[in-house]
Amino acid sequence: MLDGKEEIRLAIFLGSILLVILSSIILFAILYFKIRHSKHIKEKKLLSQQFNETLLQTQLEIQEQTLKTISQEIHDNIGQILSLTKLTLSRMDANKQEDLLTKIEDSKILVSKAIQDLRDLSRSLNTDNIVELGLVKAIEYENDMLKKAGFNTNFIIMGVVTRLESQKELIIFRIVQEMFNNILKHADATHINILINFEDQLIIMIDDNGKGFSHQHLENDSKIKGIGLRNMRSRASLIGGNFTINSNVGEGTQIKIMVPLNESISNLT
Amino acid sequence: MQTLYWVYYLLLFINYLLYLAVRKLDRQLLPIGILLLFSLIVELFVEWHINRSISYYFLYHVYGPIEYVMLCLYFKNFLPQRLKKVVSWSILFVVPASLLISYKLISFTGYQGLNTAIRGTLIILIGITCLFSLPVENFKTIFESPAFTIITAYIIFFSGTLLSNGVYNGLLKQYPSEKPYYQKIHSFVNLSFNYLLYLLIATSLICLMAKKKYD
Repeated sequence: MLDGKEEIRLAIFLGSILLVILSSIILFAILYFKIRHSKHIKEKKLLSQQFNETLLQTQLEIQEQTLKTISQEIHDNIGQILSLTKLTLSRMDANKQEDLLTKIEDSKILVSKAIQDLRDLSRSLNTDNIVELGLVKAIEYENDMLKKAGFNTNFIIMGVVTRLESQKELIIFRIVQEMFNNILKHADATHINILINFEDQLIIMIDDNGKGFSHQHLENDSKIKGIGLRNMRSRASLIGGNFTINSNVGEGTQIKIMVPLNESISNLT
Repeated sequence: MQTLYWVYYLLLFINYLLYLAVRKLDRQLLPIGILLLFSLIVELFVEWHINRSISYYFLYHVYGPIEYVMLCLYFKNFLPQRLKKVVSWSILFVVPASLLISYKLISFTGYQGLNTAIRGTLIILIGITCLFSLPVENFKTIFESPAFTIITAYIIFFSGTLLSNGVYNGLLKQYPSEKPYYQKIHSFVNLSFNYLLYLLIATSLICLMAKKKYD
């Protein structure tokens, strides 16, 4: 049987062994943290690389679409006006003074219209302009354009208008712009509702009273349009947002973009 | 020896002041802050009781379960979701069990060695689990994390005092004539590990302040 002092020695001995074991565990925990940390760094790098690649791809897509829009706008609109001007000017008869004045006046109006259209196009495509104006103003400007084009629109803002990072605003604006283009080209709509809500998160809802479409039809027959919608969705997810579209034949189309207000792009990189 | 105790109280007080200075930098430290303040109050009460030769062990019987609750609340921050629940449930079992042991087996006037050993073992186990699940996102090395130093400090403290606390009552019962000798050794072991504990906590709090200042 051990006496008291031996028991204490034994307790000290066992205590020391326990401390050594725990020290080893702590050392192992340090090593394990290091392994987990380097794994985390690798994952972060990979994620950042993927993000940059997607961003670049999106930027290229946006650029391509912008060029397509410019080309279409010049061909369908400004080109037509200028052709009409040329036709008017070429049909001028120097002998008929009154006709001459009328045709010059007509040409002046047409050239003014072409200049105005060019200004609108430039303003709508200029990235700096969008960054400077902010998302809400830029969408408001597009809304004015839709009104000028003969659409009946409702533009509502809810909550306190908050500026997001410029890159984020630009991506959202391009999604909205693409949606407006789709309405103009394919929807046969007369009325468009635009709602921008800044409560909790940024929610943009656009709906029209056009002919709508079925999702199945979209996937089967209209690949290009399908790609456009997919692009809008992938762009929204790129900035940490969500894009949904609801449509049925004859019931118009509704899109919803939701983007968190506090998640910045720099956080993702 | 008395001077060493007063230095220890001063160290506890400094720890609490350091906590107050960094409390806004790391909100998770709240249970540790409460525990530091409570420890200081209990130790000063113990000192007051000793000076008047009144039994003071009952204070530790109350302090022990509260210490367990506070440490669990702090450690929970670093545990995976599933284990968080286990730790929360452990509070519901350990606190009444600890008080029951105090009441039935030891009595509130005796030294709570068995309770401390049981709680200490659990804290060591929870602490070790925490060390393996500390978040890697915000720190370049584990040493930058105040949680690592604090958890390690408590693991060392409880493992260092585990056997001394566990056998203390038994030794006193078996060899009453050696009581002053055992008391001296027990006080020395506890005081030394308390010093180490609070020095490590102070280091982690100072490092946290420095990190936030230069970040």
